[in-house]
This record gives sequence, C-alpha cells and structure tokens, in this order.
Amino acid sequence: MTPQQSLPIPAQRQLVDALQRKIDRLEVRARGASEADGGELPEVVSSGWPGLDRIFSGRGFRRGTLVEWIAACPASGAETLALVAAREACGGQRVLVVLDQEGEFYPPAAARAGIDLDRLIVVRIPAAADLLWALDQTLRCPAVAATLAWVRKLDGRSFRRMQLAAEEGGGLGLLLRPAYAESEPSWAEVRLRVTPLPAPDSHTCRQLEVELLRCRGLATARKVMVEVLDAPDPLHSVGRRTASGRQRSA
Amino acid sequence: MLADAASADARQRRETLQALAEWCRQFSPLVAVEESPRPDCLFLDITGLERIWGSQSALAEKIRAELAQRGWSAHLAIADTLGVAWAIARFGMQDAPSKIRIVAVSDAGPALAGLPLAALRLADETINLLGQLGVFQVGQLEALPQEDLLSRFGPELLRRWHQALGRVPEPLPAVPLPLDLQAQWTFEYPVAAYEPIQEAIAQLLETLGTRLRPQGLGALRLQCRIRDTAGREERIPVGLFQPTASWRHLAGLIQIHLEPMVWQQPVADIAIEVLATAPLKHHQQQLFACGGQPRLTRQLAALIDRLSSRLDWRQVARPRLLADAQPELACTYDALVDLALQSLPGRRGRAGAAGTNSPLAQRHGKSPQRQIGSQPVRLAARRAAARRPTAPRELPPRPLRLVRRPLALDMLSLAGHQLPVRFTLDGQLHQIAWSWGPERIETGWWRDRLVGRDYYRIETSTGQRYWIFRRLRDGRWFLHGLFE
Repeated sequence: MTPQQSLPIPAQRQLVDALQRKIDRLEVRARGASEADGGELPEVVSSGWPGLDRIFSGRGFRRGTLVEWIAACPASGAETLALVAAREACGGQRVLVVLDQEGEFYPPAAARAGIDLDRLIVVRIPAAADLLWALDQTLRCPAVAATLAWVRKLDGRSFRRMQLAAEEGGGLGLLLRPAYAESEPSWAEVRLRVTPLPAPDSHTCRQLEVELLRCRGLATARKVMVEVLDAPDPLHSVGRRTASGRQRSA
Repeated sequence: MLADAASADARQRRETLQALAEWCRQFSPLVAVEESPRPDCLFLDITGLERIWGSQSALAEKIRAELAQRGWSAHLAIADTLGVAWAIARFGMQDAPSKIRIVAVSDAGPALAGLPLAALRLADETINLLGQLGVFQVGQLEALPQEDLLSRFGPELLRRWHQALGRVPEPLPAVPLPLDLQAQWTFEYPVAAYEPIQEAIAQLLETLGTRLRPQGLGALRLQCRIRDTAGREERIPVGLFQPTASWRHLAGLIQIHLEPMVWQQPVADIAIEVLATAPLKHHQQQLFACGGQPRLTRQLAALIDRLSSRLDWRQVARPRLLADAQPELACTYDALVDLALQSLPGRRGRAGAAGTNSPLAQRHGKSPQRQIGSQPVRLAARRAAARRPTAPRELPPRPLRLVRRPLALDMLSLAGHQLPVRFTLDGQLHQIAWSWGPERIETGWWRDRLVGRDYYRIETSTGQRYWIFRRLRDGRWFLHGLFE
C-alpha cells in the first residue's frame, strides 16, 4: 500500500483490530493444543469481579501470562484484588504460591478472602537477589496455578524472563508493583492501576478504582469501580464508571 | 540364645531384639531375629569363627558375659542346626548351670529326643492334636509312620523336625547390614575449578543412589561437606520434599548452592552423607494432590525441593491458623520439608538405616536420627491442633499485610474526640476520615506479657485503609497492618 493510498484513520483502526483478533484466535488455539496433555483448567481465569472481567475481550486473565497490579499508594487494596484473582486461578484444586519478601503477608486475612490455606505455600525470602530467582522457578512450574509477589525492583531483562517463565509454566503471575513502576516498561500482558477511593460515608464498602493501563487484545472500557465488602463475604463487585456518571450493578 | 525380654508389646520386643542383633554383629556377621509372634531369641551363625574367638565355648562365654554387663540374662545353645539350638536354649538348659550348652553333631538326636514337642517350633494346634494321641516328646515321633504324619498334620511338622535334625536345610533370616550412607571423594591434586567438583559430587551421588535404590529407599535429607586444603569446610544441607534416589535431581539441588561459592583455597575432599531416608514409593500426595495428576505432584515436589535447597528450607512453608487472640500469634508456618518427613507412615521423624558412627554425626555431637526427628516441631503441632482455631470466615476483618513490629505513630488528637484525627506515616500526613472499632484484644497473661490493645480499622481521606491500635497500658497508638 503506497503512502498516497493509505486508509483513513478509522479504517486503519478497524484493520488493526481485525488483525489483532485473528492473532488472538491463533494463539488461543496454539495454547489449547499444548495444554491438551495436562491442564483441564480453563484457559481464561476470571478476575473474581464480573465488572472487571468485562473490560477484557477474553473475559478475564489468560493463563500463562503476567498481570501487573500497580498500587497507586500504600494500603490501596491492590493485593486484595490480586488475591481474589489468584483464588479464581487455583479453582480449589491447585496450589497458590506467595513470595513474601517483606515478611508481612498475613495468612488469616487470606483465609478470610477465601484462600484455601492447605493449598497455599508461602515462601519467605529475606534477600532481594533470591526473589527474582524464586519467582522465575515458581512461574515455570506447571503445578502452580498462581504466583503472587510484591516486586519492587524489576529491570527489563528480568521482566522478560518472568514473562517467558509464566508462558512455560502456564500459571498466572500476579505481580504487585509500587506506584513508580508505572513509568517503567512492562512485559506483562495486563497492567492495572488500583487507586482507593474515599468512602462517601461510613458504610463498610470499600471502593477501589481499577484502571486498565495496558492490555494485549481488545478492551471495552478503561476504568472500573470495584466494591470490596468487609462483611463475611468480602467479595462483591461491580461498577463501571463511564464518562456520564457512575453506574452500579450488583 | 534366649534373652530375657520383659516387654510384652510384640513390636517393642522386635525392635529391642533388632537393636540387640545389631550389637551382636561384633561376634558374627550373620545375625537373625527369631520369626515368631513373640520373639525372644537371636540366632548367630558362628561357622568358622573359632579361629577368631579361640573356641566355641570361649565365644559363648564372651557373649554371655557381655550381655550380662548390659543387664541381659541369656541362655546360649550352640548346635549344628537352628532347630536344635533353639530347642536346647529354650527347653534344654536344666543341666547347664552356666546357661551355656554346646551340643555336638552326634548328640543332636538324643538331645532333642527328651524335649517336649514345643521345642520343634510347632503350632499349638499340632501340639495339642499330638498330645491327644499320646505323643508328648520329640523322640516319640521316630516311632510314628512318616506318611501318616504328613497326611494328618501337613508338611509343617515334618519340615520342622527334619530341619532340627539337619536333614533339611533351614536358611538363616539374617538382618541385612546397615546401609553405608556416606561416600567420600579425595582429590589426588586439590582442585579449584568448578567442573571437577561438580563431577565428583555427581559420582558420589550416583554411588549413594546405587546403594539406596535396591532397598527401595530415597534420600530425604543429606549433607554435602566440601573441605579445602586449609581444612575449612563448607556444608551444604539439602532437604527434600519427596524422597529421591535420582543423582541428577540431587546434583541439581547441590549445584544451586555451589554456583555462588568462591574457593579461597583449592578443594581437597568432598563427603556426602544421607541423613534421612524414606521409601521411594511414598509420594506426598496427601499434602498437595494436584487434582489427581501425579506428574504435577512430582513437578511441585521438585519445585519445593529447589526452593528449600537454595533458600532456608524453613522459609518454604504452609501457613496454619492458631486459636490465639493476639494477631501476630494467630498464625504459624510449617516447613514443607518437615511436613514431608512427618507424613511418612509409621516413621514419625525417624531416619532410615543411617549409620550413627559417621564422623559427620560425631562432629555434630548427636546422632543424625535425633536431629531429623524434629521433636519440637511435632510437639508444637500437637499442642496447636488441640486448640481449635476459628473458622476463617468467622474472623473479624484482618489486614493482608501485618507489619513485623507494631510501628509507633505520631497521632494528633483533638480534645473531645476519642480517636485522633491525623497521623504521620512515612513522612506523609494522613487525615482519618472513617474508623470502625474498637476491637479489644486482651490476652497473653500466661505468657507473662499481657497484651491489651484496642484495634481500629481506619480509612484516610484518600481511601487508604490501615489497622491501628491503642495500647491500653499507656494510650500510645501503633500501626499494625495495612489493608493492601
């Protein structure tokens, strides 16, 4: 196509979308073939929040990929969301591995969020140098359905290595990153930023805004508001913040 | 030899006798424990050992004296066959005040003849039946027609009788020699390069593997000791989640430690000792069964092995809730490698046939078996299990991150308000918008450290949620957790 005959912008975008859809289909098919001998687990993992799932064309996170959760500030609630996604990935049958470098992970809270402690392995890693090695090993293991870790420092090469490890292992890699990581390049398939919203009153719903910063494939919306209840069933969704205002659906 | 084993428990008797049999190996390489429901006899094959001990009676006297020193009283009988020896030791000691009786080959028949039928190690049923027929002594069997005996009492009676008389051979069910679970490699010329060391370790592991595999055993814990020319040692402990005899797997785990090592002096020798073993067939399926897929279970076990090898194996763990009100004590971790050892059937924390006389064990000052027994872990687990923890869903809300030590906060309070309105954390000023609480936790008086705290969940004006408490003792505020 010569420059003089280039398509108008909307048509270009349509073409790109169509090509992207084709690539996705091919990749899903290829991935399905390689999992024929082992995994009876579904290819796509729900995030645990229907509203959040709807952002993604595949209705969730793809196994064998990395999902980056950027916490806009401390105590943002990002880890709670990631933990729920991990729970969905394990499906009650497989193992979740949490890599805890700070030594602050608190299992009773995880149990309350529905994590089966019998299927949880916590690896406490005091040395930062060992964290990336352990992350690589864990992502590579097909028996681990989800890996969760706070990763403060991650250079490009290591990130790429983790992405390849996740692809090989077929599990879900949930990486929690601090706010400054947003300016760094990413090899994650999905990058989300979690910002807590101040509650309008003292009812117990916690409101978090999840913004999709990057996603391979189509996305139907960019921002979603998620409600986290503190009551015994802490998981509740959903809301979608559109330009026109706030809608909430149960 | 008949030993005075007072214990009534059959298993304990057997274990005591096994230990004694090991001890008797100093007298004869072939020692067997009697195979019966209530064993109290050991067999030693002393063929050809007169040259070492002087004479049979000298040997017998020595054994009796040594046993007496250990508090055992024994009847010793020396004969040509197991059967006669057993019979004399049990029933034929009335004429031997010193409790030692040596029966010559030609005397075997007459010696047996006067003994009761039980001396032939027959079943009680057979003895009763024969008694009904008026046969009470072994000598009376000669008079009976052999075919009738066979047809009425089965082959057992004749077998035992002929074995005693030496007409039919009886093998000695000797206790196998303890496995030598140590292997050493000494370099002719000390090396500093990585490859020869790796190669030597691989060879040692292969040797150990060939010793373990025929017994159906795999290594669960081993230690690799590398010594340089200056006498300095590096010890590499390896703990496994699943027993393995695969030298390749073990070499990989040791390599993880080897890679970052730097040798100041060339390496002179390497020794590897297996500290704990377990049957190879035992799989850790009950701990992390991966939806019934053995391949995945194996892969998970391999991952746990690698993580436990490079990191401190205590840090690769599974959490367990405890019924303790104090938040930092409401949860504990069980190292997976320990759980693996404890889950072995019938071998709660005890090692396999590991030699206790190894130099490594002596250097540690205690036997490896006891080291691996992890007694404190087991006891703690039992105590904790006795207290039922609260079901997770019934717990009040807890933060996903608990700071290791409660952090004192600079709080700004306004007069007339119960809760402070502002606090500083990490150099940032936070305004408290909402709070939920108090949740009062008063506990620990039995630990001599009474803890009294009023916990609050707070949300700041920016939506961040923290878990703070006020110490009842002095009213100071602390940060304990973040609702990440």
